[in-house]
Amino acid sequence: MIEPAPSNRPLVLVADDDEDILTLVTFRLERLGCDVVKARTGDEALRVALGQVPDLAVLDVTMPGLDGYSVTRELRRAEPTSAMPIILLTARAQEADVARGLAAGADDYIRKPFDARDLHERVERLLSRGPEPS
Amino acid sequence: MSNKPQRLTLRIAAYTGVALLFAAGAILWFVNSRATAEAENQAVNRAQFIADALLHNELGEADFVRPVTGQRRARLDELFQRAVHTEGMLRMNLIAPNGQITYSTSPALIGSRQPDDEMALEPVLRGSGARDVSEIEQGGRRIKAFETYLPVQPAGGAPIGVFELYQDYDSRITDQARNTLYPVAGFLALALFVLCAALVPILRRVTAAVEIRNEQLVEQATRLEQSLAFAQEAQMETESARSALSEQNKRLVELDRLKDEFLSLVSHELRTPLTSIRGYLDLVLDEEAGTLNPEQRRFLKAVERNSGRLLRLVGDLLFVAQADAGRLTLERAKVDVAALAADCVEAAQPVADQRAIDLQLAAVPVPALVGDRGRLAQVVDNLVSNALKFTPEGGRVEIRTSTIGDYVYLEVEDSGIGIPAAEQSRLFERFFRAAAATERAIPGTGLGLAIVKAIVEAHAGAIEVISAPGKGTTFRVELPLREARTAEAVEEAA
Repeated sequence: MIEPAPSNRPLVLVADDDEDILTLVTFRLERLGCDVVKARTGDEALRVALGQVPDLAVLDVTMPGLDGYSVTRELRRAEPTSAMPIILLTARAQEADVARGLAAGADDYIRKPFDARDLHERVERLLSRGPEPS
Repeated sequence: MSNKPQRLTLRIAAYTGVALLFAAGAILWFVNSRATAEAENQAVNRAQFIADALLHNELGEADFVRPVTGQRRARLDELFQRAVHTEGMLRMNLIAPNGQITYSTSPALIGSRQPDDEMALEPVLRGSGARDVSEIEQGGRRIKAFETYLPVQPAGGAPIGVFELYQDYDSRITDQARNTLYPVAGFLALALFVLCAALVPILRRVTAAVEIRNEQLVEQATRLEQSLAFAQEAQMETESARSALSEQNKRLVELDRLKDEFLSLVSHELRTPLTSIRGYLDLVLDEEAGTLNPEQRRFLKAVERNSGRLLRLVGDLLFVAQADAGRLTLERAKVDVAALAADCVEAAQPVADQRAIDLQLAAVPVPALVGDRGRLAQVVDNLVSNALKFTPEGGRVEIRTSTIGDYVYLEVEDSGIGIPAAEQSRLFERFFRAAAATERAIPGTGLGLAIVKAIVEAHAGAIEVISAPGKGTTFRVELPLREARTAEAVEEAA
C-alpha cells in the first residue's frame, strides 16, 4: 500500500450532540473539500481540538457536559488553539445568545436551521483568513 | 363607676366637716375664754361694788384688829346676810394686815390665819386688787370658788385690811360664760349645718362634673388606644399584604423566567429537528442523492414550503413571547422607510403578479429615522403580505410613505375583502383571526399583526386600521422621527 500523501485539505472539527445534524454538517463540509473530525459532546470536542488542532471548529452551543460557550473559552485559553477560527452553531437564535457566543471568543455564528450557502460562505471566509497572528 | 363619685363626695364632705369642726372648736374656745374673762371681770366688779358701796361705810379699823365678837359680829352677820349674801355668793372674809381672819361668814374660820399658800396680802394692802380660783368646803361639799381680794380703805386713808369674797365659780363665771357661748355655739352649729347642706350638692355637682370629665378622658384614652390598635392592625395588614404582593411578585418573576426558559427550550427543541428536515431536504433538492424527477421535486418543494412555515411560526412565537416580556431589543440604526417599502414591493412582486394584483409603490422620500431595520422590514413585509392575502385576484395594493411634522407615515392600502368594525378592535390580538380569513381558508397564525404592533410600539409609534367590508383596508403606521432616547443612543454609537 502506498502511503497517501499528507492531505492539504483543511481539517474541521464538527461538534454536535444531534447525530443527524452532525452527519449533515459533515457531509456539507466534505463536499466543500474539508476533512472532518467529529465530536458528540463538549468534552470530546475540547479533547479533539487540543489534540489535533484543526483549522476550524464548528461547535453546537447546546451539548451535554461542556456547552459550546465553555468549549470556546477553553480553546481560546489554550496556546495551540487560541487563534483557531470558531463558528458557533446555535438554535438559540436570540440576540443575547449570539452576543454571549461572541463574548466567549467565537468568530462567527450560524443560526439553525442553516442554509448550505450560508455555511459554505462562512467556512470559506474563515479558512482563507488563516490563523490570526496572536 | 357610680359608686366612685359618691365615695369621693363623702370624702370631701368628711374632710370639709373635720376642718370646719376644728375651726368651730377654735372659735368656741376663743369665745369661751373671752366670755370667762368677761365673767371674771364682772365678778371682780361685783366684789368691788360690794366693797365700795356697802362695806366702806360700815367697816372700821376695829374690825381688822382682832376677831370680832358679840354684837359686832352679829351686826356684820346681819349686814352680810342682807346686802351681800345673794345667789352665788359663798363666803366673805375680813382679813387683818397680819393675815388673821377677823370675820367670816363661815364662823369656823374667824380667828384663824390666812393659809400661807393663799394669795399674798401685801400687794392688796398696797391698794391693788387680786383674784384667784380655789376649791372650798361649803355645806359638806367642795365647790369651785372665784376669790376676790380687795383692800378696805377709809376715804383718803391707807388700807386698813382686806376684804375677801368667794363667789360660786359655776353659777357666777361658768354659767355666765355659757350664756355667751351657747348662742355662739348654736349659731355656729346652724352655720355649719347650712354650710354642709349647701356644700354637699355643690360637691356632688363638682364631683359629678369631675367624674364626667374623667369618664370623657377615660373614653378618649380608650378611643385612642382603639385607634392605635386599629392603626397597628392596619399596618400589620399592609405589611402582610406587602409581603404577599412581594411573594406574588417573586412567583410571577419566577413564572416569567420559567416561561422564557420554556420558550427558549421549545424554540431550540423545534429548531433542531427542523434543521435536520430542511438540511436533508436541501441535500435531496440539490440532487446530492441522485437526480429527481419533476414530480419528486414538486412534492419535496411542498415539504420545504411547509417546514418553512413551521420555522416562521416558531420564530413568531418566540418574538411575541419576547415582546410580552418587554425584552424586545432593537438594533438601532438610521433607517430609510421609503427604501424598505421599495425593497418589500420588489420582493412581493412575484406573488402579486401570480395573483394578478396591481402592486403599486407611492414612496415619497422621507427623512431617515432611528430604528431597527430588520424589525421595520418585518412590519412592511407583514402588512404587504396580509394585503396580498386578503385581496382577490385582479385587485390593487398600494404602499405609500409620507412625512407630516415629526412623523413618518407608512400606509398599505388594499382593495380586499375588508374587516367588519366589530373585528377591528381585536385585530392586533395574538392568535386572533378574522372570520373571513378562517372561512376562506386563508393561511395564517394570527400572529402577524400582533408582531407588527409590538415592533411599531417598540419604536414609540402607533398603528391604526381603516376598513369596511367589501371596500378594502388601509393600515397606517406612524413612526416618530425624533425620539430623545434613540437620538442619544445613535450619538453614543457614533
